[in-house]
Amino acid sequence: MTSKSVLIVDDDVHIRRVLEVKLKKYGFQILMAANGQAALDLIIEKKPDVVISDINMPIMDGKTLCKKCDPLKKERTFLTIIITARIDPHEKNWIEKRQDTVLMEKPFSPMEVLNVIQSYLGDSA
Amino acid sequence: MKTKAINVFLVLVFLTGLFVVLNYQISIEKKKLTKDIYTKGKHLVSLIALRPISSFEGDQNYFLRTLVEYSSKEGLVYCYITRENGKKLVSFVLTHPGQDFSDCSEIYKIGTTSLAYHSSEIECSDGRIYEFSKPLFENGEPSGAVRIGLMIEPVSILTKERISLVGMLSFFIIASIILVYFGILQAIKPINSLFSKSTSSSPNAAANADLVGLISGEGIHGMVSEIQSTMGLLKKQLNNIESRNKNLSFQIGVVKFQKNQIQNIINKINYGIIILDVQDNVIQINDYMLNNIGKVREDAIDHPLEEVITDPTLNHFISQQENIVEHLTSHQVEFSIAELKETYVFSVTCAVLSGEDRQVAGKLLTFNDITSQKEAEKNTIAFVAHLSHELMTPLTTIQSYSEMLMDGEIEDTETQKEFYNTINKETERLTRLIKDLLSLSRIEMGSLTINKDIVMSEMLFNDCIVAIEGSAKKKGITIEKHVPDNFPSFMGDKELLKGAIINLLGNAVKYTPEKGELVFGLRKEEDVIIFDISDTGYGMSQDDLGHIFEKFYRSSNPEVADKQGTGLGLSIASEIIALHGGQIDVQSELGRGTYFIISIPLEEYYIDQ
Repeated sequence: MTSKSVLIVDDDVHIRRVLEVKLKKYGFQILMAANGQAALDLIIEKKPDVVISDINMPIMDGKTLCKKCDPLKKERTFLTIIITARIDPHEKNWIEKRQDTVLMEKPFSPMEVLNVIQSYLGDSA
Repeated sequence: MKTKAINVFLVLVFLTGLFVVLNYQISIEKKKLTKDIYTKGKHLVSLIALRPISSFEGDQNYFLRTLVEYSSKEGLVYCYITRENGKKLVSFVLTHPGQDFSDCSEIYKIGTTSLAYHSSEIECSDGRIYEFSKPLFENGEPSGAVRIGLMIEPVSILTKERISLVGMLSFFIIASIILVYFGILQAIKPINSLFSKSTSSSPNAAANADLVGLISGEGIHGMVSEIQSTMGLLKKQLNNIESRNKNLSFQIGVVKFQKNQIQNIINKINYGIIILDVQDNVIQINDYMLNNIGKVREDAIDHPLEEVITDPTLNHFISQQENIVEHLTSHQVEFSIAELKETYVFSVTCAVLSGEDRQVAGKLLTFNDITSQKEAEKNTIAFVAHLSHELMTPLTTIQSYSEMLMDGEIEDTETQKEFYNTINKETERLTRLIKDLLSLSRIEMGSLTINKDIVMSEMLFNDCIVAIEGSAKKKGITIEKHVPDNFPSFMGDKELLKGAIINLLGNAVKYTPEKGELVFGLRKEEDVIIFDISDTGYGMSQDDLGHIFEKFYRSSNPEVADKQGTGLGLSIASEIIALHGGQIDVQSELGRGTYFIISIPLEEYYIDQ
C-alpha cells in the first residue's frame, strides 16, 4: 500500500507537532506548512491526499487557501479539514458547503482527526 | 319740560296740518261752485234771451215766474229786463230785499255786444254777486237786455263730508303715528338686543330694562337719550374688547417666543428630528438632520419623506407604522443613510403623534447616531473572537497532547518528555494570558490600584536587569547599560512600572536573534525620567508600528509570529505608563532593530521627617 500524504497547515508549532506524531504513527506521509501560502505551494508541488488547516494564520489565512484550492480540486480532489476556534456561524456555513471539506472545532482530538481521514480515504479508495 | 314743549309743538303741527287740509278743501269747493254759477248764469241768461222782449211785457208772465221761482233756489239774486229806452219790463230782487242792483253794475250796452253773454262781478256786503247779461231781440233787432245776478251759497265748514273727511284724516294720522312708533321699535331692536347683551354682566341692567319703556313713554327724546347711553355702553364694551385684544396679542407674543425657543432647542439638539404629517410629508426637520443629509430646509419641508431620505429600509419602516394613536410606544430601526457615508449607522425611533381629539396628527422621527456604539460592539465581537482563539490555542495543545499520552500513542520516551514539556509550557502560557487579561481588565475598568510611593530609579533599573539577564544570556545577547551619575527618585508604583519595563525588555530579548545586542539606559531630562530600550532585533514594519499597542495585535512578520505571545503585553505596558502621566515612543526598522523610549514625569515629593 502506497502511503497517503497529509499536509498540516498551522502557525502553531505544537498543533503541527501533535498531528505529525499521531498521523505518522498510522503510516501517513507528513508535509507541514506554517501559513497558507507555503501550504498552497506544497499542494501544487506534492499533491497531498489530505490538507489539515487552521484559519487564523499570517501571510495567507485558511479561507483564502480554501478558495485557491477550488480550481485544483476540479482536477484532483482531496480532503480538506479545517480546524478552527472560530465560532462565527456564517463562516461555519461557508466552510461546510465546500467540496470535500470538513470543519472541526478547537480543541480537537487527534484520534477524531485520524478517524475522519481514514473514513474519507476508505470511501474514496 | 322739554317733553311737554315737544308735545305742544306736535299738537300745533297736527292742527295746522288739519287747517291747511280743510282750507284747501274749501277753496276747491268754492272754485267748483263758481264754475257752477258761471254755467247756471250762462244757461239762465241764454234761456231768457231766446224769447222776444215783448213776451215779458205785462205782469202775468208765466214763463218768467216759473223760471225765477226755480232759479231762486240756485242762488238767483235779481233779474232785470230792460227796454232799449230804459224802460224796465221785469225787475225783481229775490234774496236781498230793499237793495237795488240796477245801478251797481255795468248794464249791458246794446250794440256793443254780440249775441254772446256778458258777465261781471259785483262785490256785495255778504259776498260776491255774479252778474250775467245778454241782449234781447224783437223782430230780429236788438231791443233790450236781460241782467241776472247770481250769488254763491255760503260754504259751510261743518258739512257732513267735511266731518267724515276730518275723521278719516285723523284716523290716518293716528294710524301713521302708531305705525311709525312700531317701525322705530322694530328698527332699534338690534341696538336693544346688543344693549341687553352688553349689559347682561354689568350693573346697569336696571337702567337698560327701562329702555323700551322710555322709548314708548317719553317718545323720541327718550329714545335719543337711550341711544346715547347705549352708545356709551358700546364704547365701554369696545374698550373692554380692545384691552382683551392687547392681552391676547401679548399672549400670542409669549407663545411665539416659546415656539421659537422650542424651534431653537430642536435645531441645537444633538440628534435628528423629523416631523411628518399624516401623508408622511416632512413638516419639520432640524439642523442636525439637514447637515447629515446635506440638504437645505426648502428642499425638505413639504416634501415626501422618501424624497428627502431615499433609504428604502427607513421608508419601509415608516410606512409600516400604523396611523393608530393607540400605538404610542415608539418603534426602532437601524439604518445607514445612503446620502451619507454608509459607515454611519442611525437608530430611528418613530412615534405616532395625536392631537387633543386623539386623532392622528403625524409622526415624530428621531435619529440617533449609533455609529460609535456599533463600532464598539464590532470591536467587542472581534475582541471576544480573538480572545477565544488565544485561549483555545494552548487549550487545544494541552488537550491533544494529553490525549496522545493517555492513549499510549507515544512509546518513545524522548517524545513523551517533549509532550509533557509542551503541556507544561502551554499551561504557563494560558496562565500568563489570563493574568494579562485580568490586569488589562482592571486597568480598563479603572479598578487597578496604583500605590504611588518614592521610587528609587537605581533599584528599579537593577530589578529590571536581573529579570531579563538570564534569558538574554541564553541567547548570547549582550546588555549595555547607560546610567547617570546620580539616579533620580520619583513618585510612582514601582511594581507596576517594573512589570511594564520588564515586558519591553523581555520583547527585546525575545525578538532579537542570538548574539544580538541590547541597550538599557536611564536618564533624566528636565522634569522627566527616561528609560531607553533598544535592540538589534527583527524590527517592525511601519504598518506594524501603528498597531503594536492594540490588544491582541501580533505582527505578521514570521520571525515574530513564531514566538509565543499574548498580544497584550505592550497594551498593558502603555496603559501603566499612561497611568503615571507618561508615554511610550517607538522607532523601528525592519531587520535592524527597535528603540523604545519610556518617559515618566518626575512628580514633586516630600520626605516625611
